[in-house]
Amino acid sequence: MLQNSEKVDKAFEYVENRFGVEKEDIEGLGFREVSGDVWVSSSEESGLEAETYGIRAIRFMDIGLKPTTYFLQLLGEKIKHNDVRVDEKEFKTLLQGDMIERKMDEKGYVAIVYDGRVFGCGFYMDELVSSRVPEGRAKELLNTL
Amino acid sequence: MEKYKPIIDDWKAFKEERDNHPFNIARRNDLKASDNFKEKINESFDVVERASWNEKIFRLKETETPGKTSLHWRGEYYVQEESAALPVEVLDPQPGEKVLDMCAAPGGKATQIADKMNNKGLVVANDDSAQRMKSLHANVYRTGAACVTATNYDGRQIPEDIKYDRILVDAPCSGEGDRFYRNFKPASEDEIEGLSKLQKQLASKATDLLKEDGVLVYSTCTITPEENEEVVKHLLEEGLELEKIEPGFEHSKGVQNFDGKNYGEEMNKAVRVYPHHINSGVIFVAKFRKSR
Repeated sequence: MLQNSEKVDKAFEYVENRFGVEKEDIEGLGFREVSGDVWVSSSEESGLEAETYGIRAIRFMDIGLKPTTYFLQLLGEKIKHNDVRVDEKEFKTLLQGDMIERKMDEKGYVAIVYDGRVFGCGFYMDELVSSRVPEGRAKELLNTL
Repeated sequence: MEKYKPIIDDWKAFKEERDNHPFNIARRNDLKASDNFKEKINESFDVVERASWNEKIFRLKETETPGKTSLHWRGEYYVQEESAALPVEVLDPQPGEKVLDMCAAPGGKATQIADKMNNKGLVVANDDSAQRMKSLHANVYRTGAACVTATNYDGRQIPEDIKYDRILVDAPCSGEGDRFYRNFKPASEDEIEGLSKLQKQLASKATDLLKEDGVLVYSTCTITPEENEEVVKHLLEEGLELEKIEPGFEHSKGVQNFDGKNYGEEMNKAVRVYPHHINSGVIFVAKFRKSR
């Protein structure tokens, strides 16, 4: 880990509890707090004034922590729980902004898995799953299916 | 382009290639690609051919929309010309190293470096164009190249607080590789002269930023020796050692003489790739080591 901060610790705790991904599963990468969020980045310091350090991983919002679509894709097969496997019809439904039915244990963010691949972030609540892939990118993805 | 006739190995083949646009390739990105990538890319395109020199390169011969797949959206591959994958292969970055890509946008080579390092170590991807930084960021995010730190310095002004194991100077150039297809005309002498000066300044700065025994790769996508061999000669004068490149596919060697200028025998260690070699864009690559 590159940086010790309360937020980095919270991010690790969240990823482990929610998705079953442990620190050793992300070997070689560092985590740092940037503009209030936690980014996954190089474990080495450049000493340079940078525009970005790797990829935004966990957003800290008023309502809690949220993983980014890019970070969930990077975790990929390391995700052990709270992944929602969907067929093509369900995937398109999600990307169009609609919801699909599921029964899961606990409300919260999920990894949407289609065709054996993690595509992005979703949200589960009240037996419904919705997509949290940003609208523009969801549209781009939909056009490829 | 006629002025380059003396340095093109097969002028007829070179000239005929101008109507035959290079095909795109999908460079597999193992930071994201799933185990069944090969099967999926074959399902996505009608004609897919593997390059013999690089197992990550899949030639997409008959498509005009190589990026319109869910695999691309997810960052499992990067679309580029085949020859553009050579500089990073020559650079040969290793996990755990500190690597600088001095002129990195839009990020094809920086993300290739991160892939080869398996996201372990540090890749500084720098570009002086604020506008082009946007495409760099987008490609870093999409390909999962988390070890990339993106900076926006004039390459000549990069602070020397840390030294790098390897540096890629894929220099801004007159782009005669593109001109080859666009109008088959060379760049103007004024433009070439200005760029050659800039390229030497960038290359000198890279030398200062390089660790002892470190590797520097210089590349452009242009034909004129003033932006290629002349910069190599400049770096040799600065004390770097030129190392021989064996790309593993048809190519030409660096030019020893052109237009009354003598660059020296050692230029045969550098590589020139022309469109007729592998149906790909023009590229020049030279590899150096900084002696202890």
